[in-house]
Parts: sequence; structure tokens; C-alpha cells
Amino acid sequence: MHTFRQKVRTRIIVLTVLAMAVALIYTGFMLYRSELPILNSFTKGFHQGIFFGLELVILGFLAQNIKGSRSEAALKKMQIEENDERFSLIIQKTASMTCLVMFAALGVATVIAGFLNAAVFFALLGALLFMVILFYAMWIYFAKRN
Amino acid sequence: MKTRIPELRKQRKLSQEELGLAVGVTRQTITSLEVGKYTASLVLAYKIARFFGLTIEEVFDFSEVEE
Repeated sequence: MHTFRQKVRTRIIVLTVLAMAVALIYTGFMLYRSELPILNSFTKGFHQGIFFGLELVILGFLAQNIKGSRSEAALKKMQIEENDERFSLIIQKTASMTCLVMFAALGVATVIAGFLNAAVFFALLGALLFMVILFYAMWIYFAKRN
Repeated sequence: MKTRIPELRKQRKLSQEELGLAVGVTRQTITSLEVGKYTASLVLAYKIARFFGLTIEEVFDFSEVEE
């Protein structure tokens, strides 16, 4: 329990720094907006959405960790929820299935893009290659660890 | 996999939440174990059996597990 309490404390610090960094980066972009390339409203909206979404996720995790660290019972509950073996299995199966579907979808999209647009084709091919390299790197890492 | 968890839990008048808290898993995991949707790991099976003061074989029924 002591180790988990330390882990939660570290997490709170890291998340606070991260939340502040994201807010600062966004404020920086807003202040120097005139010096940035002119973007269409959709791209601008997308960028804003990414920043606000990220900030919300970080703040959500931060609130969850602060709430968990307030009492011994809440900390224990949080530890159980995080280390529950069924939950871990669900996450593992979800991640592996998502990865498989993404490989297939990206492969199909790359083939289709090849007939339509060279820039999109190479962007998708790059993403596919990156995923394949990452997949095998992770495979080797976990095979050596276990 | 069939288990005797519901029976043992009722004998000791324990809720799923209380058993989960004692062995370090969520209430949902205990529910899944009881209805046979989820098979416990060796560590969890050991913790549950030890909690009830029994052996793993006395709590979990391995007769239906495929070779």
C-alpha cells in the first residue's frame, strides 16, 4: 500500500505538470497566432479540440488520483481497480483486437489510397510501416521480459 | 469453470464486494467467477482458496477444463 501511495503522489505531480504544460503550450499558440501559418477553420477547430480534449483527460485523471489519495479506503479501492486481473485481461484483449483491426484497415486504406493520391498513399504507408516496426519491437521486448 | 464461491460466500455471510476487497479484485471479477464467465489466475485461485481455508480443488471444479 505504501508503494502505491507513493505511486499516486508521483502521478499527481506528473499530471499537474502535464496539465500546466498543455495549458501553457495552448496559450503560447494563441498569443503567437499571427505568426503561425493561416489554417482553415476545420483544422483550427481540430487543433483546439485536441488541446481541450487532452487537458480534460489529464484533469480527469488528476481528479481521480486526488480523490483516491484522500483516504485509506479510497486508495485501497483505487489500487484494486487498477490491479484487477480481469480488468487487465479485458484491456489486453481489447488492445490486441484493436491493433489487428487497425492493421487490416490501414492496409486496405493504403491500397485504396494508392489509386487516388500519392501523398495520402505515402502517409498511410509510413503509418503502416511505423505500426509494423512498433509491433515487432514490442513483441521482442515482451518476449524477453516474460 | 464451476466454483463453490457463491456457496462459501453465503455460508460466511459475505458480499461479493467484501470478498473482492479481501482478495484484491473488484466485485465484477467475483461476479464473473461465480457465473463461470471468467477463469481465475493461479494466484487469485490460491488467494480465494486460502481466504476460505480450503484447497484450490475444493473451491474450483476442474472437471470441465479441456485438456
